Amino acid sequence: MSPYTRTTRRGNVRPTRYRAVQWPMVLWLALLWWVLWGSYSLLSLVGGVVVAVLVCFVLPLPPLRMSVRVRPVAVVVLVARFLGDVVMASLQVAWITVVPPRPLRNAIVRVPLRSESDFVQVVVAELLSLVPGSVVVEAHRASHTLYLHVIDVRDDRDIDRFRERVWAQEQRVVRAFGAELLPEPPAVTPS
Amino acid sequence: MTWPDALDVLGALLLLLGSLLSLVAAIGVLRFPDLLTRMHAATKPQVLGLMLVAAGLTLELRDARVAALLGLVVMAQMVTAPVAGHMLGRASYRAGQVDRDLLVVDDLTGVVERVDEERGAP
Amino acid sequence: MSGLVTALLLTSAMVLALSALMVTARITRGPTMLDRAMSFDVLVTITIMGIALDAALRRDAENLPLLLVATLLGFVGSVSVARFSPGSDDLDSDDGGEDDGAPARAADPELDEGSDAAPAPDADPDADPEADPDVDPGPSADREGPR
Repeated sequence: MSPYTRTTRRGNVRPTRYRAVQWPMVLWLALLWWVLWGSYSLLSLVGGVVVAVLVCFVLPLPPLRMSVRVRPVAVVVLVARFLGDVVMASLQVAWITVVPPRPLRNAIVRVPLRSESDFVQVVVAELLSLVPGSVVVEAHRASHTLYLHVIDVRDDRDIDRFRERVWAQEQRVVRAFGAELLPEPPAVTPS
Repeated sequence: MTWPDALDVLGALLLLLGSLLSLVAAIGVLRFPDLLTRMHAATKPQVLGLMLVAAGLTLELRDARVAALLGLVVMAQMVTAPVAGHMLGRASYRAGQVDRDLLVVDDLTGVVERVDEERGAP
Repeated sequence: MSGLVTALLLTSAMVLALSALMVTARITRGPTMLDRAMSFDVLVTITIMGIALDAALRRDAENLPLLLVATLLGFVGSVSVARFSPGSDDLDSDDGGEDDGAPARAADPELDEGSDAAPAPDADPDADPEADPDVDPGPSADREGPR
């Protein structure tokens, strides 16, 4: 781990531990504690906050710098579409498993993402991995490129269709969380 | 047939559905030729199967605490499963265990050496 | 009515047992460590489903925190196997020598930026000065995962 360092006025370099207590983290840990404790009393919530602050001090993490703007309607669209995708893809992969097409061909597809945000890349990669049928084999951060292993690909048309799906997914993620929207919304293929 | 009964049956059906998904996944894990292909089969019970089982169990027990805990389990699984899958797939590709005959297109050949970049926090 | 529910749950239990058996067969056959790690992950998921099924059958929620533990156990298990398998080149080159030749493949950022082609593991002995001299790196194409 490489903690963030700061330089004090006297010129000493030290880790920024004073920023270790981050409120989202404390809230999350306290909630976790509360759920695991099993009895939803005020006392267990207070205990959870105390433990969470303690954990943040003992195991400090660098703060995440990300610009995220949550748009509730777009989040609902994203989640609904994701659940639908998971069900559809699960059935599809289940069918492939039971009756495998012969020969079963796959592909490793390079998909350059259009968004410049690291956060969007992470969310897109997570969602794509959760949908059966695609696995992120490699992710390149500097150029925001994903390399995905896709099951049951027959020809280039399938690959193009898959890329379109990834870009549509990215578009939905950007609409839900992106700080700024993509420049030209439906321009998927530079012709 | 009363409401609790109906919920019980529905929950049991969801549990059965989740189990069947895991069976299909096990078939895939057993019969698919290489690791990355098997991984597609493995993702299924880890995501949809677990969601179905959690929903089924919630319907069976009908307790807010159980629902919260199961939601936490599903969430933890959904956050961790892609990371584990990515690390395994990546290690497998780099170890040269991918069966190239099964690939139509491999955009990653020759890229792996270049794709490395500095790691760690920025 | 509860007879129907019990029958459904017992059927699911049998289905789960069958799939656990098949996944165990894959763990036995391997062939590589990564396959085993992946199958183990599936086995953990099946175990989670089994515990949930047990809770539904006995109508008793006291074992449920185990599910969270099992989830994290499966994650940590497969990540650590993947992390220390020779394919993952995330290893720092100082702890080289332990695993055959993998660090040589790791492109050091300062070593790689200038040259357009990354050095082949066996062509450039200087790439990894820390490597044990008696460990033959060997051509990476022949190398397979640990069995």
